[in-house]
Amino acid sequence: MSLGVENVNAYYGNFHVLQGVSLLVEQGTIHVLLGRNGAGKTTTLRTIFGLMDKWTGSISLDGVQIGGKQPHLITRAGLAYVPEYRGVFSGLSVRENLAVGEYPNSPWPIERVLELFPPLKNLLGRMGGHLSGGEQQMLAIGRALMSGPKFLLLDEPSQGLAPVIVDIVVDTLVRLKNEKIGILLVEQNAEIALEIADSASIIEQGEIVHRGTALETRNNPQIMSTYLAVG
Amino acid sequence: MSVALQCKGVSKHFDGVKAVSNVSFDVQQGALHTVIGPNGAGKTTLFNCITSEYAPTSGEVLFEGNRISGRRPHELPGFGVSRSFQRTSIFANLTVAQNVWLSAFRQFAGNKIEIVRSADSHPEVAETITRTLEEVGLARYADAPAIELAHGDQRLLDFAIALAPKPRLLLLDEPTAGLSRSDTQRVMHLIEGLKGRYTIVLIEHKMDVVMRISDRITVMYFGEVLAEGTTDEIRANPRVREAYLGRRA
Repeated sequence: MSLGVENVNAYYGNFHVLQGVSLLVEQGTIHVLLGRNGAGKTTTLRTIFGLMDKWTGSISLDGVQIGGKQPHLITRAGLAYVPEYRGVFSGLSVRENLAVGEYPNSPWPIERVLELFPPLKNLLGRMGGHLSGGEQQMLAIGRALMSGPKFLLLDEPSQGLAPVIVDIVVDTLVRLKNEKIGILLVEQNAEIALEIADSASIIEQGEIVHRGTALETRNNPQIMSTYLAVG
Repeated sequence: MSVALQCKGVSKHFDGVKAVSNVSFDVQQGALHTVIGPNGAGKTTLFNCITSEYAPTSGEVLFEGNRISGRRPHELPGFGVSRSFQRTSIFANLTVAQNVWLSAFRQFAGNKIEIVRSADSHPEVAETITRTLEEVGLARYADAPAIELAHGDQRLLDFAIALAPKPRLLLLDEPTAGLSRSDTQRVMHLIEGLKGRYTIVLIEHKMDVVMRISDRITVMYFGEVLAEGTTDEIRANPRVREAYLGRRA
């Protein structure tokens, strides 16, 4: 099973943002999409999740076209999205936020989500807006899991988090990968992302300029310095 | 070197929740003092007490000997205090220069009659805008709509807005959040260039940035001060490693 993105173009008005982007994420693997601010990483995730009005190309889940479908139908097909800044409903409690993501017969009922994120157990009645950044990130991932996805789109999950919380998020992503969930990860922290990813792409001005395994990407100093300012 | 900023026993409680408890530290004039701590530790609440967004439940904040806590936020620039926010806060549909104008004008608007003068008839403001945009490296974009700036440049515009009123104390709340590695380096170099000329209090999670540019660090944990010291002292502190720095320390 895989998430396939082929020759996708996307536009904001007349501005051609994504230019022939192709990606492949296999089940039970992490594919990291790296690049500078404004390179097109978030737009790629938004296009896959049906949030862009103007786009062309092919997006498929296990060979079935999901491109062009509405987000709730894409979720039902097995793909969930954790946006940048988490999208937690500040006026709803933790329990209500989780319930928003719940699908019938999901392999991830609330009990299992709380087992994955024990700190949320004692916060079920707390409003989403009163959570710390780390708690909100756990809630956002937990809410996405409640639909029982086969694939997850994650946008900047370490952003604004304390190093010790980043460790928890990283451990969680590895565990989800071992649970056979495929993950398309957008992340500014290239070093951490490449530690846990299986494969990587680098996007620059809307075009994929590099594809490879995470290991060969991490070990290529020219790529790391040219596109990611690392090293 | 003299003490510029003093947080003296600052506490802030919300409906019984102790967001900040009895926090005290001094910042020397011209020093860069960083506040770190896990998410929810009370760092931004402390910032909001320093900048009078919140009135402390108890304790006080002094800058250059003047109490700046418990006032109204718009009074703070008059004491030489300026801040930036976690999320970029600019007027997207104004030009880059107009964004800075709004902030720069504050220091010259000494009386109400100034407000009715044409915006173009303030050469001193125009000079401040030019100088500030040059300082942050955005002078060439002065007439561009702010919305057209790249994300990293928008963050630099945020800096320009904070610098334009010529503050003596600069409070920066996660200035590199959401920035790529290269943009993070640009912001870090800018902050390094400001060191010494301004007293700076910084909240930041990127440890490579914190350890490179900080003079002293206060670590907050569950609203309280867990530790304070130099970068080497903080890095070596086992309680800080466990509570905050994690396994990559």
